[in-house]
Amino acid sequence: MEFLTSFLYSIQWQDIFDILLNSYILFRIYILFRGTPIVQVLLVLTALQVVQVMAMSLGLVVTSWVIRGITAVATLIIVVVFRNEIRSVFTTHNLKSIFWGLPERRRATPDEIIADAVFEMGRQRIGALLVFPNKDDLKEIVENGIPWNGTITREMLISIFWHDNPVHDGAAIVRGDRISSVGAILPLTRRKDLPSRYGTRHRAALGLSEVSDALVIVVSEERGEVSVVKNFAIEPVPDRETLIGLLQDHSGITAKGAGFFQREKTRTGLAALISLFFVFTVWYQLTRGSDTLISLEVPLEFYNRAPNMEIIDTSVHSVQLYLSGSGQLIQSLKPEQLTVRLDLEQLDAGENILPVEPENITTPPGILLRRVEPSSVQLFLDKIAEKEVPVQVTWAGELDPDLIISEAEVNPSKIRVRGGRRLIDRITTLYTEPVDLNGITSSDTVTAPLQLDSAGIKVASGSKEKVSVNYKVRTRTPASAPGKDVSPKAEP
Amino acid sequence: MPQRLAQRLVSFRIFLLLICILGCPACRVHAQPEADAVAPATAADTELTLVRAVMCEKIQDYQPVNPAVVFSVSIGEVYCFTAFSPVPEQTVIDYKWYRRDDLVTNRRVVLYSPKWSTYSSIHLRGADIGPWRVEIIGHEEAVLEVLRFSVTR
Repeated sequence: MEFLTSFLYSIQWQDIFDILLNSYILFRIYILFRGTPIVQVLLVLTALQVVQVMAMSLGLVVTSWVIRGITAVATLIIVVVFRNEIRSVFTTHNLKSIFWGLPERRRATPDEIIADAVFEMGRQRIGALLVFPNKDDLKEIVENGIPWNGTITREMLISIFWHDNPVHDGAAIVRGDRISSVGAILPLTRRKDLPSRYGTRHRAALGLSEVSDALVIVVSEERGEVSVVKNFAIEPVPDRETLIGLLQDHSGITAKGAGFFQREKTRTGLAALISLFFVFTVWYQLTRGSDTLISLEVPLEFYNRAPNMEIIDTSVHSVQLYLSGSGQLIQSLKPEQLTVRLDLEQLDAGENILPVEPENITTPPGILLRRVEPSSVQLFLDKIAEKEVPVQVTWAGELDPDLIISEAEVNPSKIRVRGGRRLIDRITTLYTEPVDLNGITSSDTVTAPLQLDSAGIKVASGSKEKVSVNYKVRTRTPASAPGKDVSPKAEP
Repeated sequence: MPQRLAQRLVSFRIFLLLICILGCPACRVHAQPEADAVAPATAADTELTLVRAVMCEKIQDYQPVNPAVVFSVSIGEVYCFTAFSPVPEQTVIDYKWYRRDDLVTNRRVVLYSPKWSTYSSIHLRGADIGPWRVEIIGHEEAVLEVLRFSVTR
């Protein structure tokens, strides 16, 4: 129970999204490729993968290595061998149907195709005889059928009953969505009361209906009339829709439709569940399978600081995170994926101690936080203040011994700085970056950037970050006599 | 002859006074009354006024030599020269020497009426390289002047 609670607590929204997304992708692959050999091959590959893991855990190194090699090569082979199937899936489906919706399963009997072909033959005065067996076995009734086993298409039906086709006089047996045999000889009826307009085809159809529960479609060659024969009766069919209805009645789709679709729904739902379970298992293996520990130093981030407050100092700038996860996830972990963010909203000026809680820490999915060091951070906040501070030049290097710098005027002489009140109160002088004395021979003006020693002190907006230093150079006088000005030499 | 003796006595006293002041090892304070002394007191003369303050390489004849803002550590010593006029009454001032923002030394000197020139100095060492300032502080911590300079190699 404790394990379950801890497991559920450790799951993040990214984990759930990850599992659902990949489950859906797997489910869509099944939906798109079901009925093709690819699904079977993928199942075999999955089984191989399971065997490989088992072999590895049992210490069967060579077996594991061989299976791994096979699966790696098989993946490539699948793409090459089943390229036509893959291509047909992507060319026959539009983008929407690839990502959404369930393609309708082809019905057992493609009634619409048959109806179209039958009425087309009627128009062209092509005689035809189509047998649709039901529960009775026709093997002992129907003779001399030539095996065909072809998928039903409109063109194929017309070509079978084309005048010059050697099998056009026989009957075509339709089972499901395929023509199982052609040129079959049906038993003729012995009835004498049939109208004279019925020819041999009608008699054969009636003969079969007398000894079986099959449905027979007859297309009259002379009149182009379409009739359906079943249960001793010949019924003319006026239009395509009526024929489709009769075919559906015969195949029991109307009656069995609910059950058929229910089975389809069940099968699809089962596939979705298996996809979810499979992806969850893989995810669990990857993320929770085996624990690897790691410690990483992560910098602290502060947010929600009040606009009038400044961070003066912190006891630490980073914390050490002790993390665990599967070896693969830990190996791929990068420091930038980890963040430690502390909320400063409720803090006052002065010293504050903030605990570093798990909710302050963001880790990638699958990575668990074990410990944080230190568990709290000391933070000094101060209210922001501004102040004008005099600027002093920092001279560096060596001046010519015969020269002295008698004056140095800094412009601007004061700079407004901004920072925490305590820091601002302490600061009395802003120093420039060192101005080099080497090479100075005459009075001049230089620009010097300011040196801000404390990170909490900034130049206030509107103030300059550089100052100009106008200095005067004089020759050194050994006695009290005033020195002589050294004016800048004119450029040649 | 007694006149010459009196002059020699005065010179000897001044010499003794100088010896005493120069004896301070780290920071020395020297004082000297202005030669042209007394002037009639006016309303403006009632406040202590700093008329000159400079950093210099040495003091000669009670005057600053080579006033500057940059001093090489090789000169060994740096002086802060100040001249006050008027000095309404005997008072004290402080010289606060800061290296960067750290107070290095604080020297207190007495000013005598009616005018007074005085100075403070420090010895320079290699570790003193960097920016300096001297704050001249008067009565009730009033900052009379801040002199800024750098000590370099």
